[in-house]
Amino acid sequence: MLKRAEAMKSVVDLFADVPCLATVGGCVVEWDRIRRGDGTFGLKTLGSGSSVGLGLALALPHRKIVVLDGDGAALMNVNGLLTVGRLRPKNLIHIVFDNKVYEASGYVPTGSAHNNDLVAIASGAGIKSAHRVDTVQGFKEAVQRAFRSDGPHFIAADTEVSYEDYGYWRVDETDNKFRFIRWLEKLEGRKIREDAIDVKMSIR
Amino acid sequence: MPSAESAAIILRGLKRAGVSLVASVPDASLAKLCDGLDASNEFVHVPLSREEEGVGICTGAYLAGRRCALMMQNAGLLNACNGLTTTALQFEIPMLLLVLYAGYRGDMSFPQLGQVTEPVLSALRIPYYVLEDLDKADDLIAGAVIQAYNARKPVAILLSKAVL
Repeated sequence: MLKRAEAMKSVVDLFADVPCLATVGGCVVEWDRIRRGDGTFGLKTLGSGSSVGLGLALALPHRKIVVLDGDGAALMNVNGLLTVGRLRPKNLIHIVFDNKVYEASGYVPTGSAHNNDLVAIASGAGIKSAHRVDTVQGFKEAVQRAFRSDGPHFIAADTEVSYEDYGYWRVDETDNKFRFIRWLEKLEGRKIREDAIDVKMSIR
Repeated sequence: MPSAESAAIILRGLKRAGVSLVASVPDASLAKLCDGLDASNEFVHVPLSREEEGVGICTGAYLAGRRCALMMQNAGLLNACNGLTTTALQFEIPMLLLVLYAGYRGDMSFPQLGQVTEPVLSALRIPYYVLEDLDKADDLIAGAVIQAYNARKPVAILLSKAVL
């Protein structure tokens, strides 16, 4: 078992220019404390990580995309894993901090505490690189491998429950979106955001 | 039977409106559109297993500058309601919803589904238009994309089976 924040800290050096999607709750709050800046999009719909990650990975095939997720969220959208396994985007890394409870929803056990095996599910979906780790060192090595090799990669980390009261991530969603897009624009060196007039002019 | 010609006209409309990624769940009436997407180099086609995924995929691709559409039956629109609300509307993400209108006037399938479709879109405050005349496909699709980007939200086109 590892602590989520310690695991995040062990790999943060790899993430300087990596777009991240982080799940609502403790996951995004801790990640945002560890890696500051606008390169994190805070997911609001539980389970949407694999899907938003896939969309971003398809649109930026030259760049590694990382989803920081929880087991409750991942289990809520197993369908997203099926589509990742079907399309196999090489650049998607899906990390699940598997603490086996709905941490932001009253510590009620998830299916991961009762027979549901996320790694087997990901593997069965066709994600060939699906692994479980339970130490910070093992986590760090798995993430390093995922950055070095073609994916998609799925890493489930056996994680201790944190009883910290994270509260809400106090960031307005539209502000988060625009900051993230501008951060990506800088990274990509091109304009991404379209305003209305551009749309109209570009109808061919 | 849905025709390949109708599908080609709708895909041309999507291309003209700058849509370059389409996520989909099939319906018998959408099968030719799915075939057309698979055969085309103009689109990235993402075949889904459940419609709500498509809201996430369109959101992710939008963040990197793609114009996206989610194509599905209206049953799938109901499956996608939470994602549409807590992601697309919450973050103000433009996307085009192409919704096969089962249970619409003259269609014997899923009458209950037909009756709740427009009220659900209204409740979500998602603008929608019914495509009943293929000659209007280009204008309707382009107009819907413009509105989606102006209003920063999903806009739906309901496809009556008659146009497919």
